[in-house]
Amino acid sequence: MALTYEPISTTTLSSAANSITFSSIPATYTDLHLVVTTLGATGDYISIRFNGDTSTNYSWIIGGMDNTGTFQQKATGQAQGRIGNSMNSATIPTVTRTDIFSYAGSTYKTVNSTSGSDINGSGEVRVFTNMWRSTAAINSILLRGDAGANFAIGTKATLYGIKAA
Amino acid sequence: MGSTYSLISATTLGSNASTVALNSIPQTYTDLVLRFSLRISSGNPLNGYNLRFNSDSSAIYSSRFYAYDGGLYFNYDTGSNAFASVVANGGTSTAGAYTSAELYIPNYTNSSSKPFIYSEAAENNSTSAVSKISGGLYRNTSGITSVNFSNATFAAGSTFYLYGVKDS
Repeated sequence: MALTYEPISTTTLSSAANSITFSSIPATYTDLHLVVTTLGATGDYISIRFNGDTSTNYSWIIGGMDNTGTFQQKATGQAQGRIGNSMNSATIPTVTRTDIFSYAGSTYKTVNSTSGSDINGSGEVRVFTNMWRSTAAINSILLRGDAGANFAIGTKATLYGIKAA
Repeated sequence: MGSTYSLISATTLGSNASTVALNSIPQTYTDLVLRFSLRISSGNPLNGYNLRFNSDSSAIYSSRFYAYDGGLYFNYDTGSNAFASVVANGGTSTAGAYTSAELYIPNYTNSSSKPFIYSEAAENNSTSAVSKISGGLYRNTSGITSVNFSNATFAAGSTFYLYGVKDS
């Protein structure tokens, strides 16, 4: 039977860190799947960059709800994408699942993400769609707080490769 | 390297059932994924039900969701005795229509509270349809050993596929 979801790499923070990086991503899969459980009480989004690209090649649209009601946001010409909710708690993780289809192909890259956080009285649930306007294969992924906040100890990120056959 | 999504159990209801229990979940995976196709045999086009972990009816569930049923809406609950912000196609919905849903529970064996993401799509070829995503929390530090459906009559043909995901 063909292998489907294969773990490429897992990082669990033993101390607070400004970012998590997946490097040397092999180009042998069809899609990538990222599962992130983030801790931190700084109210910062989870952002993503590919291949160290800090140019304004990212755009995104977000829909969902937070403590005040429904939420929608979009942006173009950004220096990073957004894939996950604000970090709401230092003890209860935000759960984010992200799919990057055809990451090694020669078209622009679309990234779909769902992120939920509930801490029994507040929280958010949102869907994020991003585009990275590059035709290069993705060989590295950097996750960081959107405004530079640290991920707290215990934050975990796992990158999976998915093969179509 | 081994495949990661491993099928733990596959359940298909041969007849209507008042409860569905996915028991004896091994504690050897990293995350759990439950994908199910569900219909409720009686009532309205859309009916609610209860989803619990470890048959736990303590008031330690909370969640918030964002949904669209022709209009956007949201809601949240705190201190509930079940994850109850869930609906499925009911007895008066379009024949043969089952709700598709997925529940993802990361780190289900650790000794912390259990956050989860849930998504459902209940289409009905009518005005009674909904698409919903939820973020939830089960405030129990024990590992999850069962997933339990109750508070409805679940229709024959409903299916439940439980997968374990390993991160290495």
